[in-house]
Amino acid sequence: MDMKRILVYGELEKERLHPVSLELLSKAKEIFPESDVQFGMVLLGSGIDGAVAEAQKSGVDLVYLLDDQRLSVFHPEYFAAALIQAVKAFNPDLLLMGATYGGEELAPALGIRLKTGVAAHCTDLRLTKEGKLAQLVPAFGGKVIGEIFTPNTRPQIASIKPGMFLASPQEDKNASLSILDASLLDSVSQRIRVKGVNRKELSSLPVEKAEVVVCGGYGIGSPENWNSLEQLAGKLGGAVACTRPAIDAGWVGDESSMIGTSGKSIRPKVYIGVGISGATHHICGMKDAGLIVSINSDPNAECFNVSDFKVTGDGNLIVRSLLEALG
Amino acid sequence: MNIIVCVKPVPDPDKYNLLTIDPETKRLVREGIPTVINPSDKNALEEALRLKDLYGAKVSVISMTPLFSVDKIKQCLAMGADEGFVISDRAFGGADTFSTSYTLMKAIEEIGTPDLILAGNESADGATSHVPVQLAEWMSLPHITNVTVTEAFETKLHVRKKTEEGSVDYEIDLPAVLAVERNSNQPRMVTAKGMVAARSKSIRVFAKDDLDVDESLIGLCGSPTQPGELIVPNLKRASQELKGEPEEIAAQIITLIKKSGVAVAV
Repeated sequence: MDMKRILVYGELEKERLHPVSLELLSKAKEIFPESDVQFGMVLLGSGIDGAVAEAQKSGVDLVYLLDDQRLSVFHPEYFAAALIQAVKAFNPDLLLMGATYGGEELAPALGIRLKTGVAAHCTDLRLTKEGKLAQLVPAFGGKVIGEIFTPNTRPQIASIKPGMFLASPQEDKNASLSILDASLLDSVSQRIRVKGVNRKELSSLPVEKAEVVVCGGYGIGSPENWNSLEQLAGKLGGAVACTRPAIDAGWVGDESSMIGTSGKSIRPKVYIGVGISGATHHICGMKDAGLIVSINSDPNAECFNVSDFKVTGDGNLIVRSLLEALG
Repeated sequence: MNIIVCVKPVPDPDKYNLLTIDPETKRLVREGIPTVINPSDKNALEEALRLKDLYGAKVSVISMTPLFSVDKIKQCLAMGADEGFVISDRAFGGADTFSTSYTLMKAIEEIGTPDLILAGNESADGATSHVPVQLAEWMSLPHITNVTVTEAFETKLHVRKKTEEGSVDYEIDLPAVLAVERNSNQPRMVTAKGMVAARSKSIRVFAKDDLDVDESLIGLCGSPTQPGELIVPNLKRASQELKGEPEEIAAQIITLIKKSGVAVAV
């Protein structure tokens, strides 16, 4: 089946377009460069003029918008209803969504409502020799990548984690704007009600935006050593990241800096891993870094295989020496 | 309150680096890797048992799984669940999340719609996070995923969903489906007393003919997504050893960082 109409769900981040939306659009345009392919983007939110302007300049042909107070906070039922409306209006062959906390809930819901297949957390999309769209999904923590096809139902839906593709500049055109009818939200059931939003203090430099990432695992061993790791990241102008065991050990408060299949995927210029054994789910999140240096006392640590450089030894000693050298 | 918890036996996620692909058959070789209850499903079960301890509830577990994994359902009963249901038939094999959730819905219809359905947020093996949402959608029930906190009231729950910016608190009417985050609680251990109690608890098996299923929606043929080839990505890099005293190694690392185009002030 031909791919002639591609719709990207325009995920938002603080009333602006989330980078993943442009990453997905760039990838779709790379796979389908033909001039007769139509691209749409759908934006759902409240008070999002800034994002609308960005979307109109993003290189798509058509932007669908529903700007309504009821969409100011993610709500599984309102968002699914609105997104269905955009799908009906644009009639896409392919719907691409960021696998964010919201997108991850919407994509499978749409799969059932539209009776179609959804490929989850794709790491890549590519055309086979026969011209079929292969959606590459990680399984078993990323140890295996499986091709997924959706041969018979449309739109086929794929969710992709942020950071998988590079957003490249697109041709400058001004997309026309189509406003979805807000009254569609009136018929949505009131079974779920938003009671409050708790905003955590976000790091000034999130791991996915840092050029240098210093990542610590269980081998760090103590809160004091973790502190040194944070200092090192600071001196390098980078961010500190972690693996699941470091969270379980209590050295890191939440998962926002966790790297891996169930955390973030990063591609910094430099990744330095300290005290990380290299479980498959972690490697999957850092494999695209420019330079990978791993420090581990275990000469057989799995992470060494995927590293450009390795140091066999006490990571905390190296961290201390780095801190001294950096003054 | 009646609660159904969806659980999935999976290959032990701590041993995924032992998985290989048979070069001949291109199939996954998982020999020597034990089967365990999917980690976040244990959190879902714990949440159900916590609600049972607080308010009283009947907790059932359900799993679509080959019969050899039935001991994992027994383990759930030993943790404190009251009864088990296993959906097992060759006809269900190869199901994607669309047809798995359809089949689960059909089995739950047979059992009777509970007040609350809980599931782990994602399975360790496929990790799509689809099944809880898709089950809810088939059943036309409200759903919330990435749930970290649950508080029960008579006909509704207060739940917290994790988001990029922090979290959102929702009130959700029952019946509903919640997908529970890993680490949202500490699943209880199996005790000897629990194991003894589990012996007198029932596990009912549903085969295809026990369920009122539309055959065009089950198994591999009823799945809108179809698997292609499996690939083991080759991520190998040079793995060159840096040697010397810690301060010498530190100097080498700083040089490498600079070479990568990152400005470092020394």
